[in-house]
Amino acid sequence: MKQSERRRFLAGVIVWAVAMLSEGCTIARSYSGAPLRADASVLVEGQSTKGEVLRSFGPPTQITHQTDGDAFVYSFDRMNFSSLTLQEPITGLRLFTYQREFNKRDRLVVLFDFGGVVRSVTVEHDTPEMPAL
Amino acid sequence: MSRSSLPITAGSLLVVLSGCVVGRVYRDHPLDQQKIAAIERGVTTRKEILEQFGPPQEVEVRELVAVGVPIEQFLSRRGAKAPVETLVGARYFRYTFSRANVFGILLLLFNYAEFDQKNDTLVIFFNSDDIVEDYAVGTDTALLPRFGFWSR
Repeated sequence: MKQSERRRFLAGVIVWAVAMLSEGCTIARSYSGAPLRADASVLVEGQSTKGEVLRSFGPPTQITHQTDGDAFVYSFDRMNFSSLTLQEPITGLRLFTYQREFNKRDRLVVLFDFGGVVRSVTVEHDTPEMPAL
Repeated sequence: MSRSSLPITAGSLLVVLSGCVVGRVYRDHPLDQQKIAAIERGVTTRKEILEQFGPPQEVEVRELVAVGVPIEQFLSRRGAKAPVETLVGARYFRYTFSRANVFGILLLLFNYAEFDQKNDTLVIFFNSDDIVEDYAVGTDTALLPRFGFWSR
């Protein structure tokens, strides 16, 4: 067998072996809710009202009551999952598994006083930080 | 592509391409936009809302009546009356129509799955006279991609 043929044969064996070992790669995406409709900077503490918040951001994901007023929570959740598994095909023995999961959310919390005026606003945008893979 | 390589390609595809998954989830019924348009702030009553939309998925019924009550009433002492929690009626109703789309590609060595859930939501707030104080509606199910990342 010539050297070039031998190399080709060896490369073929390696590719076949890797293909047989590789059980698979999985990528999953999960989305819950919708991105925030508006920019939180439109809300002014001490001035904006509950009605203005509803018209700008729509129905809140969650409404809670605190001892000093209501709170609206808006949330958009994302999850990115990826895994790589190498498995021996005959015995099913898993030789290697790598998994990675990211859970990120965009979240807006608006606190009101008893008169329905915005007392405090806090927002975080974490979903843009989500790695693609 | 030569004629001889066609069966090989087709055979390889059959081995590699195991399947595709498309799933749909629907929970409850869609919100009637005409009925929503008929809601008037300060006019529509809670009774009318119930007649038009039926039972809501979420009802908030408890008022914070303890606020402003002197703390002495909460102290445990002989002869003291227990604090009374009064139910004064619903503060808000929430109507929700949920949809989820599932999309997946299952190959021999690679799998991709996507799950996306969105809601159409109507939240109606009432004042102490059971009149609609305010409401908000969101139609996020329109944002659902039909076939995962291909239609995103």
